Amino acid sequence: MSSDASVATLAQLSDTLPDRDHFDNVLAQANDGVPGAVESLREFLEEHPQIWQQVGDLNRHTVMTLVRMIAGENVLTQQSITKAVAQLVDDLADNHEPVMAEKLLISRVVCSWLECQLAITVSANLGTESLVRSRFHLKLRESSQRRFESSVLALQQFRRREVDLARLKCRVIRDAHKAQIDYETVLASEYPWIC
Amino acid sequence: MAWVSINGTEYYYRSHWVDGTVKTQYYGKGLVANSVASAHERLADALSKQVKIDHEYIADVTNQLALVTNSCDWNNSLVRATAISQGFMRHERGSEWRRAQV
Repeated sequence: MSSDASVATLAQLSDTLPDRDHFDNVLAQANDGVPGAVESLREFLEEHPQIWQQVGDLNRHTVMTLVRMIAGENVLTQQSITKAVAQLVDDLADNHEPVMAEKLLISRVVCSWLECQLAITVSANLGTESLVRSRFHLKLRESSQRRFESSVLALQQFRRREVDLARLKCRVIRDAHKAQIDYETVLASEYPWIC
Repeated sequence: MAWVSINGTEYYYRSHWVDGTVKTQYYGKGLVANSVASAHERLADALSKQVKIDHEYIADVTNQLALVTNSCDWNNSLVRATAISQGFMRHERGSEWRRAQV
């Protein structure tokens, strides 16, 4: 596995991101309903508008690293996996231009799919390898499978949530129409987070 | 306790843990015992080398995958942040996202 350069790039990209622990802490507080935490979270996202771009870059390099880990120096295999990845991204996007969050989720599905492929590739010579390696490969297969399933579930949940949001917007439009108030005004006053 | 000295003579034994008890096997003395002992030593050397190689391999793959995991974790966090800032919440990891009560 000669992917040292891409691993170094991944490490560099990770270093440019904001402090992870602080971000997770704000997230946990916001999810628990701590007063003011949701506002802090929005402020954090506004203060770091480049974070989407950075995580997007991180994802691209992760995919490249995984492809190199699977294919090694074999250029033909690298290209065929890259094509398969592009096809998977297209299929998951489901004929529409996904929003940023959905793109990240799709990247996550792709990464975990590649991880599954890597786990299958490295454990291909099962039987001739040592017990320590076999056990490690088995764990790798199980954990990558679990991560793949959870990433698919997260994408599914995101789409369900988008439907929920669209329904909410329809209700607001209907209510605004009934009360003869401007839709944007109702949205801004009652549901400011949707705007 | 591979070599046991009895009345000035060295005898070669090997003990193994089999089915919950220690089984000791006698291999002999003199030249035969020496050659068996050196064969066992070579085998143990090869095994420890293999274990070292395996551990290096596992550490290498784990390090590379740690960076991949870090990228996936960032994805998760950002998507969660979007959901929460849009007024959703969930009670536990992996559960459904629900609209938070306003």
